[in-house]
Amino acid sequence: MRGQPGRGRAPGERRGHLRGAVSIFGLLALAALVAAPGCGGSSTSAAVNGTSIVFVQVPADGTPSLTSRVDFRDPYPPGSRLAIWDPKRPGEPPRVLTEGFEAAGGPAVSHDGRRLLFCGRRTARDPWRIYEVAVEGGGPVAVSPEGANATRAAYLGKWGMADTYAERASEYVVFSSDLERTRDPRDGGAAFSLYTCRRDGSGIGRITFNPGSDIDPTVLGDGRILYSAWQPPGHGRPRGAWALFTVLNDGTQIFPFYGSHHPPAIKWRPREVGRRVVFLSADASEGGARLQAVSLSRPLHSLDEIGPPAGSSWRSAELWDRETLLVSARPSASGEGPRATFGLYRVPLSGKGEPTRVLDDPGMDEVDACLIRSRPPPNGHVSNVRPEKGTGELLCLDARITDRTGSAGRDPRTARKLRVWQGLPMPLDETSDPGEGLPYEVPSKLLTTVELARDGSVILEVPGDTPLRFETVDAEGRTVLDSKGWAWVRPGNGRSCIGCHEDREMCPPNRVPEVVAIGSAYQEEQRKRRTKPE
Amino acid sequence: MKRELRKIALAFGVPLAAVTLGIAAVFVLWAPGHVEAMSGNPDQPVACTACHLRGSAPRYFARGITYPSPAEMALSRDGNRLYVACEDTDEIAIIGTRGPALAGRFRVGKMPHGLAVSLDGSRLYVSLRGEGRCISLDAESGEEVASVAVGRFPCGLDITPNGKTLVVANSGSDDISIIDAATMTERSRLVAGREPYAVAITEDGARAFIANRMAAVAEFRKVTSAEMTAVDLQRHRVERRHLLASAHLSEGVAASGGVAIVSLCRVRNLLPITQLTQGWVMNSAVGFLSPLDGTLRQFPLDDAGACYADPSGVAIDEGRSRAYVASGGANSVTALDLGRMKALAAECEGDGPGKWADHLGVPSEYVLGRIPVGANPRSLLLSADGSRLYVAEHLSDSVAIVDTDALEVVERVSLGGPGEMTAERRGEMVFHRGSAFQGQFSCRSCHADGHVDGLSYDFLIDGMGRNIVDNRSLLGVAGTEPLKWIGKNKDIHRQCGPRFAMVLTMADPFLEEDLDDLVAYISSLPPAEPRDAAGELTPVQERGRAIFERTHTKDGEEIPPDERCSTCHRPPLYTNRLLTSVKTRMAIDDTDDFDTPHLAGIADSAPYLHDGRAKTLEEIWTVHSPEDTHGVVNDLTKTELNELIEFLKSL
Repeated sequence: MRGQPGRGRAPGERRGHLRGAVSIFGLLALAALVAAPGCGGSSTSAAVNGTSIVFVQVPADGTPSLTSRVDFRDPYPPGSRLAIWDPKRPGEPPRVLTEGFEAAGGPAVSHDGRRLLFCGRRTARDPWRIYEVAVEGGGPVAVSPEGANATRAAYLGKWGMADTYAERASEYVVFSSDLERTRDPRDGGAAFSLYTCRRDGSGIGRITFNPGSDIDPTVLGDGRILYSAWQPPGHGRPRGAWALFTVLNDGTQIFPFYGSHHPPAIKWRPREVGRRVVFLSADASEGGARLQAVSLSRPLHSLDEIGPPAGSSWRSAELWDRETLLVSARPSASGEGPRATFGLYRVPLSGKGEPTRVLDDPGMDEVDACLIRSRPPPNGHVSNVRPEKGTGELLCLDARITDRTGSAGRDPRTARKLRVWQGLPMPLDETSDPGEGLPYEVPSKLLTTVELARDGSVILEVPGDTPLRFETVDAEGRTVLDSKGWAWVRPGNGRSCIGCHEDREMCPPNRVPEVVAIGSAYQEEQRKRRTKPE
Repeated sequence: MKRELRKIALAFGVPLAAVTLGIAAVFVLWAPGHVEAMSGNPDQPVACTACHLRGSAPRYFARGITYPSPAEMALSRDGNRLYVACEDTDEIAIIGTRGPALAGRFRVGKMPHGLAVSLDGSRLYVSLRGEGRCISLDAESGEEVASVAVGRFPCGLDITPNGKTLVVANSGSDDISIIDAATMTERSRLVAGREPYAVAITEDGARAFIANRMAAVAEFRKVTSAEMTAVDLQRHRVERRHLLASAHLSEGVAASGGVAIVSLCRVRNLLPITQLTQGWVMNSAVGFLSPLDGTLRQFPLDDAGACYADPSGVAIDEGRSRAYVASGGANSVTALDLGRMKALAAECEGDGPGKWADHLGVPSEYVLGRIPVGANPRSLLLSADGSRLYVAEHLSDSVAIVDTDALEVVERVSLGGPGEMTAERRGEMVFHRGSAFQGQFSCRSCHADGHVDGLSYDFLIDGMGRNIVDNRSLLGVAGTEPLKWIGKNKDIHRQCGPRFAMVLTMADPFLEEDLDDLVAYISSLPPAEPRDAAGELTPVQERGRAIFERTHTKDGEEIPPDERCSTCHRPPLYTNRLLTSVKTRMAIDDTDDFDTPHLAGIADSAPYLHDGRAKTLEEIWTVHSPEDTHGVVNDLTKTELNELIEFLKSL
């Protein structure tokens, strides 16, 4: 493609009179080029594309805890260990990777298929930490910081800041941890949040600020982190719920993915399989889990049941190939070959058809398996988060747009103001006491009340990295809509929404929101702020 | 020994000191005056290299190696030959469809784009984008038989079913040529929308639909609209101008069975760019002209979580009630269920794009499949029975053949090529790749053919609703650095680097090697061809040039250097590449000083000024510089101002 038909010019056609100067500068440039340090490319090692499986071996007597839904604080019983096994060499026993650990599990494979993240603890008194180990073996290296529990982890794409990206951007990992030591309103225990850091543990930063727990991160091909977040009671979830959310690797662009208002109440361990996401779900915190799937393109409207068959239990699912899942399953006790332990099985992606046994040691539970193979790294992200700024901006195009009915039957279009509440998570120490039953409501304070513009738009500068929830009120100050879930803005970042809980498949209207239009109070304030004093 | 050293020191040290003092004197005494004389600004914080080193870098617009780059296609009447316009190699490639294989080539004029075959199959009609002509060829020998001058940059071309009339979209002159095919004479020239690009004629030959690629220029911070022009081919009149609100990049159209479909990009440039999901910046879509009420509705092509950037060619299979749309930035063709779209269109009321235009869930209702194809699919063509869909893979230099039952590529015919991939060509691929977070858009989505989209955007990096910036052309941009309206980026490499990913694509920055290729491609884009320059300047343009270069007002008063046109817009680039204030700062701007834009191809790059507030060149002075803050024009008559503008259009 030549662009528009153009006026091609040969080199040197322009500015002939400057040729002398060019030659001098050319020599200088050449000298600079010669003096410049070399930029030799780093050697790229061959990717691993094997058929080996990494999984967690659990002594069979630990089985009962394996059906627990919310096991992020103490996910594996003593004696659990990480092992690798090649189905093409069935005669060879699994190779254990975590000798010396009291318990280990939760494997995640790097994109080059050469390394693994896992959670483990050396002794029963140690907290759970994230470690990295080479697939070929060697000593595990701690990734998450000492002194805090960290359980589930995944490899991210590259992450960095624009001005230093070329030199300093590096591969990050995401994990859930109780590093912040706040109380989880769900059960009063330690709340887990998502953190990212480099593989060597440096550059650690918190990226989710939900007062409840955020767990089970996995990374989608487009770079989003998909995870399970606890949502407080309200709006179709009387006891709260675990729902799936996405967030970018710097904590921006958080969006509900599936399940905030969809039964069952608990959804966890999501995994991308082709153009779908499979996840485990259950109504109660104990008992059998279901494997469900939604499409990546329409997660809110594409729920599909995959398994397990009646009577059997499934614990994890990962993609095996285009048409098959690798699940850890405890088959039905009925029929021939009853087994009481979890084993590894291949099942059709549809869930229909007979499972094919891959590995099932009657003395062990084999769970949380995934194939060790290379795959394209996910999208990275150039962050515009600026912690030093302290605040971020929130823009709502029309706070009267919603897919809900208003409180006490009020018309959402009667909203005139927006109240913003700041959550005050309780510290997790021995003296703090929620003082109420569980789950309890996170204490909050009114941060601000702002008028909506005539078009319903509103813009706010809010403290960054702070849990916020919103309430629209009418002219008499009565609640029109209130959110129960928590949102936040990263400092230096801006977040927008179309309305207050609008249809997530809607695009915004193309118009300048009144609150940021020329002549608005916001712009006047910005002008004053940015005009340098004489 | 000491003496000798002293001698050496004296021999070299004294002259060195003298030279150093001389240089210092130049910098302290002469340079400020020089900068002021050249820029009109005594306080310009500028290094010598801003003009001298970078400005003398070679501008290598001409690319030595060309690639077929297929544009439109046409089938012979018996369906045995597929003609393919190879836009960059100036050829028509012939593919034998039974086989299929490349069967030959015809050499033609510059940049063949549109194609049609005569009713008896003996003639091939070709629009030559690079020559402003439409020609007819002997379909066997490739000999040029006749030629007719049409508008500027003719692109899309179609022929009536009776073979008597050709319709050509003249993308560079914003008009439509209606041509008598037998005599190859132009019968009518009708005004189109902005940049008419593709043509589709209905089966009864009564009507032609023209897709206009760019949106019309709108009032500042108001919604723009592209146009689908409906032409009555009996009366040679524009029958209706269907507006596509918030649309641009509308470059494909098809009509059949009372339905017309036009591809488009639905932009939301009035919102701060805080996110890409939910179509926040743009989404791909089609316009669907409903046979029920004659209203052009819009339907998304993108899903909520997967996007199909740069929709381009369209084909309709009435028999199967299907349509196909190529997505150039996603290397994909989408198959659509026309029956379902008709039903959904029937649910829409009133005028406008309709209730589904902004709903990314609704494509699951009518998308039958997504077909992966080669790089940058542009035009589509169906076989007569609809069983095969030919896909021109513009950057793969090939034609893919899709089995429309299986919805998959079953054959691919290479159009040949140099067998060598240059950095510019690799960069062209990067440029056309949907590189945003979920593939929402490519570089091309805002810079089709490297030019502008005529829209202004609100980047988040400096606050919501602040520092609105007009999109600037990439044509001829090499050598005009610094870039950005605030002149912050010293070169194209920086402009397209990680900061670009941060503020726009919200994904990985381009890999370093991809970035180098992209820079090579952008640097190779030649300046836009002037709209009104036929070699020599006309007398009107000459008078305009004199005004542009004048140093005194009509009253004989000297115009201060910093208020002369030619000081800031200094030839040959028509920019001094420095920041200048022309007092256009608004309360939403953080600076008075903006980069002086080059003027090459300015006639086609409306709107103007840093934020696009001036809809026309004339408005720059009559509306936005009433106090002569942007040059001195208040002593000019209306006629003289027009002469100045005519000169600018020749640049």
